[in-house]
Amino acid sequence: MKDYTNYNYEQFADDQMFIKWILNPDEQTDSHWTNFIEQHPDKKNDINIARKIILAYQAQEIPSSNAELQQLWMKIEAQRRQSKTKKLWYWAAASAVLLLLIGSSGLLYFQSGQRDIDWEAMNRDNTKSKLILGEKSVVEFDKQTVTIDYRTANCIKIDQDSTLNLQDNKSSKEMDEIVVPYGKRMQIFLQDGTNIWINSGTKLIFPRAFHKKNREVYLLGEAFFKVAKDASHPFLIHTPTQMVKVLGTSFNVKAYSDEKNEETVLVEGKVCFSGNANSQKFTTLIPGQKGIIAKSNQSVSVASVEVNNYISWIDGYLIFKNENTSEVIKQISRFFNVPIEASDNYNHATFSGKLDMNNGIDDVLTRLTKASSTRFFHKGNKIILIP
Amino acid sequence: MTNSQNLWKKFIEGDQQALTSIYFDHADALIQYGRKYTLNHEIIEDSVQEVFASLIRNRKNLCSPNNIRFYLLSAFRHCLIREINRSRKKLQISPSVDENEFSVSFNIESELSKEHISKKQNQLINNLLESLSPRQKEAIYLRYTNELSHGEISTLMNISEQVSRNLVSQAIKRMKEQLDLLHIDIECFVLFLHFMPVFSSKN
Repeated sequence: MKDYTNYNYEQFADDQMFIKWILNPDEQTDSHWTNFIEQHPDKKNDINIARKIILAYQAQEIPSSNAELQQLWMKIEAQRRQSKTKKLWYWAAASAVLLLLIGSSGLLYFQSGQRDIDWEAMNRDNTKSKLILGEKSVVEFDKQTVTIDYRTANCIKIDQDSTLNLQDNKSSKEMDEIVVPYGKRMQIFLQDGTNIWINSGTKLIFPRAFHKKNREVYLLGEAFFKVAKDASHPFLIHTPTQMVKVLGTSFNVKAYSDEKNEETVLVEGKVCFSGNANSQKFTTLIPGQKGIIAKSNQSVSVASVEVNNYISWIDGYLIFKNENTSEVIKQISRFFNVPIEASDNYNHATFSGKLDMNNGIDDVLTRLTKASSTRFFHKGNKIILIP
Repeated sequence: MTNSQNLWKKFIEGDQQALTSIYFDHADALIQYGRKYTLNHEIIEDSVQEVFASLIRNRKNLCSPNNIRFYLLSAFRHCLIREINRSRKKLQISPSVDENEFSVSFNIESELSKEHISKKQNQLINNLLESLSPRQKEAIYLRYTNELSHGEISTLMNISEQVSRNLVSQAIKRMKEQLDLLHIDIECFVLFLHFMPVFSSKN
């Protein structure tokens, strides 16, 4: 044992055992220092000064809030899920005990009706899919496709093997948001059982649970909806230009910011839609029809289409029939998030066929260029097509 | 073997729940440390995330350090300084961060929620710390908040053990001077601070 009899305040304040006694006392340090003071009352003053210094220093440390630490841990968990998909089962138990602490400030938004929607276009630099919970915490995903399931009360399942527990019932009134960057896709089951496939470059905002007369979601980009049937609670999709109203059906809505028109393609059931400027005048679609609304003047047209061509992206392939090749290239570019440059010659060619996107962009372009006897090459992060 | 070494061993053996406990034992100390280098919370969080992600990545090759806190602080400091430099490069501002920047951002008023901080506290903190040099602040932080040894502090700050001793001893003297100058009953005050709920989670 050290000899402390000649210590002054300065030495006490820099002694490991002394610091431990002040900050994290245990039986051993406590009895040691109590005895020491009893035996050396002349040291009491120095010990007091040293104690004050340490306590005063510690007093200025402000610990992080528990919620802050929880949220950061969720991010670490989410990141780990991406890198170790095979071992997911192992971690499910660990993440299941995590509570997500959610405040109730998002509540006001939702109850006061329309939420402020940020229609700002997707940034091409984003590379991670995101789930934003009540505008407070963010979970990020690296994987190509992620499935998120809200059907169980007070928890969110991610890819069936992990669960985020939501702390209280109030949080069910929050609005959550999914952001899917170019090159990624996502699938979500909403609380009512509605299933939505979300395509690349898309933002979807939706309530964690449906409490109101209408089931309302907000969409920028493209998604395919299989709406759970519930005639007494119409399902409404708001986009920057239009509103689509559904009674239980499946259909595709396309509302990208960089296109002139927004489109709705109906697969089964019944939907109607109206421009935001003229929200009383609905146009009704029957299965196999595509409703088009022009952003410029909100003019509406309806055409009969082959629906498979419009929803094949769900399964990872694209189908075209006499499609303008520049449109084909645009869709490939969006799907893989790779800019593609092509000469104007392509505007006059059309393309028909099915492109399997599952083997990567080089594979797709090899087949495309073979069909059109052209070539492509990589230049930096771009791809150039030449005749 | 201490409790935290036990947890570490379990984690290396594959018990993922152990890492959760390790995280909640140490994350706050890392965040505190980071706050003294930068106001950019994103950089701090990214660095904490990177530290734990690399633990997960390298689980099978990890050694068993004597002092987990020291081990994590070293890894964190490394990540943090790299992240800060990276973001500065991106913004094309001033050259790289160096040791002397510790605590430049330590401005309670701008950084932390004001509701926790009374005026008197603010006065105490400012007086107590403002007279310290950045390196004194860092050394005393490592010594008091993390209870590191001088050997560990010297490794972390890349200085000799003697310099570490000197920094801490100078810091103690300065803080004593400041405490003497304060015309409040520091004993009562410190006690009061420790009964405030925000500080009670410390132990």
